[in-house]
Amino acid sequence: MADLYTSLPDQYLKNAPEIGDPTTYIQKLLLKELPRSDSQQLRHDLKWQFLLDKHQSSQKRKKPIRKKKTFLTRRERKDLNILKLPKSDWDYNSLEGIRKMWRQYMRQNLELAGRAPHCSEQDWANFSAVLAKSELIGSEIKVARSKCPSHVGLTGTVVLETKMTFQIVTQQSQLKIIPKNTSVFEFVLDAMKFTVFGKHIMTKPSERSVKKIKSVMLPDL
Amino acid sequence: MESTNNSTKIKKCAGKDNLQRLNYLYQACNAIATENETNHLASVMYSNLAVAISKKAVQRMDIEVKRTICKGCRSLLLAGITCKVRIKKKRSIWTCTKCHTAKVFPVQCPDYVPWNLQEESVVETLQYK
Repeated sequence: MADLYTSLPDQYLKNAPEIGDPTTYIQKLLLKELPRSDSQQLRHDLKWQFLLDKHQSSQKRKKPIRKKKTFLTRRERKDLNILKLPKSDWDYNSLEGIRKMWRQYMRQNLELAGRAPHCSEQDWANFSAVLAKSELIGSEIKVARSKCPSHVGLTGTVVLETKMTFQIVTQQSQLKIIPKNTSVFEFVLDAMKFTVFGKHIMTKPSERSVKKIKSVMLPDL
Repeated sequence: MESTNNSTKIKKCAGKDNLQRLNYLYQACNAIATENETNHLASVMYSNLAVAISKKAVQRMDIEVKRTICKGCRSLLLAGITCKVRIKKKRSIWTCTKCHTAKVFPVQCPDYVPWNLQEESVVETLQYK
């Protein structure tokens, strides 16, 4: 495209005749060359203005404000890049605030009296139901077991939970996507260690707080 | 865990775990919203999740929380940072810079207070440690 506006090579310019103002030159040329029937209307025709003449594609129009239709369609959300998390620019240290907040939230949520109930006690079922319903974004999580050997031992802060995956930021500030189905997770709160089978929490995070949880689940893997 | 009228028995609050989860998500969303572009996207996910939970659990969000979340892309609206605020034709218009969705509030009668913010709407306050 850049070649369009460069001047002709010197060898052609040498032989070219001198022309003054290009518009007057073209008018004169047209008057001379056109048949008489056309040339009478020429002055009128030259006053025509073309719609797209002054509007160049580089001048983008301002986006209008949406007032009536407020929801976004999936395609619009995809164009805004809010369906996926980017893989770059993560910082493990900057997530410290969230980890601290999560610990505080979890202590309140579980209503801990110093220790977790033993599995033979009455509170056990209630306690595990509350645990299964609680939020896991912000927790420091470790993959204890997995069918994929390279996932075993990965630790990091959960930044997003989806139906099938946990997305964690490791200490090297990398985003890792770990499938729940084939993994067992561990996380530590104060002096307690929780083990969560990924297979048992395979629901949408928004539905998990409402869904009924089976009291007996058989762990395999 | 005590209710305000100093009764010794523990009073249960319906949907307390959901409310706590919403509270935590909203705070987490606020904490990382302005750090950088990547963290901002994560915060959009959190507020989106918070809205989804409140719909699923049928727990209404407080009006002041609701007004700071964009209706289109569900990102946090911070005046001057993620949205621009203009007053035109006696209405204050909050336009999200991301998806250009606007929230329009009339400013004609400054005495108006939404019902949730009025004192009569509060029946009981439960305090948990």
